[in-house]
Amino acid sequence: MRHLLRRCGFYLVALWASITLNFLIPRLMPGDPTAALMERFQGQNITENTLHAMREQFGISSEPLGVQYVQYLNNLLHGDLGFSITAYATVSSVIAEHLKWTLGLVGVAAVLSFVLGTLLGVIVAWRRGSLLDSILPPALTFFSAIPYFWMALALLYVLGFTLNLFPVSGGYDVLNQVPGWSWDFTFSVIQHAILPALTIVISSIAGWTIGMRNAMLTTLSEDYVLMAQAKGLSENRVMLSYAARNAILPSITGFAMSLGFIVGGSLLTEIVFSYPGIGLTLFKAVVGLDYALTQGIFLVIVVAVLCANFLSELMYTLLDPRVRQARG
Amino acid sequence: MNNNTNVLEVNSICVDYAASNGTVHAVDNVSFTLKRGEVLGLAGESGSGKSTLAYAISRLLRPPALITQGEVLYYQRKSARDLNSMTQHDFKSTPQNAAESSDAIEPVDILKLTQKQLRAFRWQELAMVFQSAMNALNPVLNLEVQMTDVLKAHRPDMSKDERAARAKELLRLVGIAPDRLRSYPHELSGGMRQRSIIAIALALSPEIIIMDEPTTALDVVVQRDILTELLALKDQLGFSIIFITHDLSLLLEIADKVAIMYAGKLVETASSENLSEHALHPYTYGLLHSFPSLHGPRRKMTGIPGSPPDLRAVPPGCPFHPRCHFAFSACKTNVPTLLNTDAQMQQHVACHLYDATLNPAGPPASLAREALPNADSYDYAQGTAMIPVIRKEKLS
Amino acid sequence: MSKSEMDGEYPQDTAVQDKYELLSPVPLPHEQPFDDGIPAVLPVDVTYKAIPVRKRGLLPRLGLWWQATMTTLAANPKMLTGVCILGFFVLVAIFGPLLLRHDPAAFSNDLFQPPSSTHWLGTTQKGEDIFSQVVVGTRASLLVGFVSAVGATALSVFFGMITGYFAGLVDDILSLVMNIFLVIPSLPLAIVLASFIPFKGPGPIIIVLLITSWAWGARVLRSQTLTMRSRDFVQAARAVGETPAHIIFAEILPNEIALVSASFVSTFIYTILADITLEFLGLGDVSVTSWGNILYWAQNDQALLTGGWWLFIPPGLCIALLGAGLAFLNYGIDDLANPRLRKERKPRPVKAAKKEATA
Repeated sequence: MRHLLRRCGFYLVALWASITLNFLIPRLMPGDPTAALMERFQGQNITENTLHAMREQFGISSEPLGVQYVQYLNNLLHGDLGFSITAYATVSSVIAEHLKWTLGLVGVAAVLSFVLGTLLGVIVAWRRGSLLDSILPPALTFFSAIPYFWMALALLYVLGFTLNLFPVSGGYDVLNQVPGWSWDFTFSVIQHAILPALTIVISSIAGWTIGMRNAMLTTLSEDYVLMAQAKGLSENRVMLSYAARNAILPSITGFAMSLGFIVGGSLLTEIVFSYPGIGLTLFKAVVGLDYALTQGIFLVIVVAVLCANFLSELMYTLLDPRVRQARG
Repeated sequence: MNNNTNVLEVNSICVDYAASNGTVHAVDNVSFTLKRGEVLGLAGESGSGKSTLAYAISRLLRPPALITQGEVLYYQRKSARDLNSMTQHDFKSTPQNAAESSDAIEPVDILKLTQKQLRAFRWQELAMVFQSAMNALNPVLNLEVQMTDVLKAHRPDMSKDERAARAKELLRLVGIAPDRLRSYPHELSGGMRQRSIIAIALALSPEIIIMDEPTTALDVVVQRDILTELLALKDQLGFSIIFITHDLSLLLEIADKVAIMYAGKLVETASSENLSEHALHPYTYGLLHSFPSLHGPRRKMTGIPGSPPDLRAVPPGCPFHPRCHFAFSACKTNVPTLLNTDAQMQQHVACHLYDATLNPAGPPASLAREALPNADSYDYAQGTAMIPVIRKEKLS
Repeated sequence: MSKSEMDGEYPQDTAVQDKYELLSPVPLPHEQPFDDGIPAVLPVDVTYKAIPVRKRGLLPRLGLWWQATMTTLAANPKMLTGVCILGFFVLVAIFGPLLLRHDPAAFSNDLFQPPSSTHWLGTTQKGEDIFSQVVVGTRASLLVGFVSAVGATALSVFFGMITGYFAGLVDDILSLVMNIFLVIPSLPLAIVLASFIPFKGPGPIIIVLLITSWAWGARVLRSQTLTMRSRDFVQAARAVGETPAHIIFAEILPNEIALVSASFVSTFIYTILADITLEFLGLGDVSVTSWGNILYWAQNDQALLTGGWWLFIPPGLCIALLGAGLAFLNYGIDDLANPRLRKERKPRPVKAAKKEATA
């Protein structure tokens, strides 16, 4: 319990650090971002008020940094993340609109990749020296070295464009479907989500498989596995309860750490597939110099990843009884 | 219960390790027998092949180790238990008539069992107690699960409550409070862990328990407790023990029969009294005189000069001959086999000194080095001769 | 060792090169003439003498090092594959641009052509030769990735080992910082940082990559150093009075070389991929020719949906190949360091010889 509380404390500190980082980044950059924006809006009517509002968005105000910081925190507590120039709506509403798409895609794909990958790793390690062991790890390594967005592009081209098996863009069929809880809509969503999900799964599965395989090989040489075999237990039980159960522990820690990477990769996947998640929104914000939206999305991504990390630490504590003792 | 019959017969077993720079004969042509209710002690220096032998008997060897020849015959006990409590996991279908009437039961070669038969055989007939209990217990499962899963695998007819009750009974047998049933291994002390390993070994009341240095990592007080309990359990339940250790003095206390191994070969087997009173092999003699006794007259600790051979390059003939004071020409060329020196006292030794054809003069009266003519000129404090070791060159 | 060397002197120089040689041959019992029944006499004394090794010249030393490397590589097929692939790309980066037919930045009249004999990988919408672009781009991509990786590894070695060695307050603070950087997803952070920096180019990208990739290696090295610092050789060095800097970098670091190499290779993979990603998003200097920029322009000009597969497959394949090569290199280092992972060969019993021996 104490251990969990300590980890909770850490995550709170990390949260605070990322909020502060988010606050400081634009304010510490040299140059005046409003100048760039001004160029974009040349020719349109900009009143002095608009300029002032824009400047405030970038924190170029005359007030001292400390006051700005307090204001920023205050705004955050009220859920006010600023105003998005490109979308002409509050940042919070933009994020709320797009976040669910990303959560659905990334959540499902990441979990699927983890489960499949670790299962494959267990099987490959158990059948060590077999054909599977010689082929699968190098093949998976090759696939995992392919950058996310390239894999996305390749799948898009081959399966979507050339073979026309799957739709090439969007989260659902915008021309024909209306969002709602209908079967047609759900089917359309799933259909549009298959290629992006496939990209994420293929790109990340190798890491799990090889990591699990290596952990299993180390675990299989332990005495307790030998004793389990000596006990005459079935091969399944030895493999799962004795070997895999111990070997999966480093993978769970790894899952937490790699979640950040998966989120990054899914951003690119969304961009390639024009999938309406926050990755695409971030890209559009960056290109459109919409700093408020960029900051807002970054913050949300960080918070999501922190939560996921915390959850996986929780699971680790459940699985490994040694951690439950308070460590000094 | 102790009908003084054999329960295990090991015949000419050889185990090789296929290392990249040559084959290592870890166990070379070893044969011995184990009687019911007997404690057989297996002693030898590190690397003499004792653990390899134990793992070979229970078929727990991992690549690159390979059993190249031999057979391990197991004599199943004929009792009502054979026919009733063995369910479909019967590892050998015992013919009905043979079980009841005759004494001669067809032995089973453990090395030839199929995987399914082997799984049924394991733990039910032969259990193992490993050296480090901390490493032998699964750290993420609690004790109850580890004790009951073997019951579940071998006795599917037992209900959950029966299994829990049996687990508690086993803990009581070894002297652990039953409320520790749900603890995890890291929550137990070293002695308790070792006891729980023994409890798990007793779960199915096996006929043979192989113990691989079970008390080496424990302090002497706990060691004595555990061993006393173990011997009491042995008398109560009637199983045999193969006890592997490098501590010869311990074996002389608890074992009925002692077998000494050197460089993968058995060099001497005898009852513990015979061994302590008159050891026949020079190596055994050296071992016995390597440690001081707590009582008795002070005597010079002699030890054995030299070091055990590299198993990739075992000396020809008798592997001990480079370190042996009594070596003569035949020792360099002929490999000694176990000779029965005294049929009545059951003492076997693999040494040419006792071979009437090779050594007509007969064995020396005493193996003590004090009896040697030039004994005093050898100064043991200076250092001992080194058989040329593999030289290591440190490069920049 | 002779008596004087054993008497209390702590060998300051841990790289003592001595060659030990038996001076007096050992008269073994069985080598002496036998009268059957009379026991042999054991030899009394054997002394060893330290013979200093003769200094080798540079060329023989290089030769030995080459031999050692080749043996290791031959035994380790994964590592060999990785080194070959990496070597190939380095050669292309160094010598490729000198052997080109077309100038990569030249616009030609062959707009948007698929691969042909004149343009091996086709042309872009503006008529630039893609093959030349890929070859020239190798240099930029590898350079940025390499510099960032070296810098990040140096940072992670420094911070990781300092944190691991000085436990206590330093450890608490620095590892907190480390964990925060670890937990914040690096690619979004890199995107945000790169988008906010007003000037574009390889410099800002290197800085961004440094900031986002030092933490992983640092954490790994920290935990390893924590284990090492309670080892005997460190205690001994402390007792002799070595400075902490010497202990960390001259005593502990050589033991962690495998870890540092693996960390460097992983970081290299990450920096190359991240660099390409950032350039793909247009956050790098789009006027420089690099793999990521080729993809950026391809995406910008909607190459994919107009069927121009030759615009994005070559750079992607290069990246995939290089990444795979580096990953294999990493697995090779893993195998080297952890013998349990090496390929197992099933032993075959030598039955015939056995039967003879026991006859």
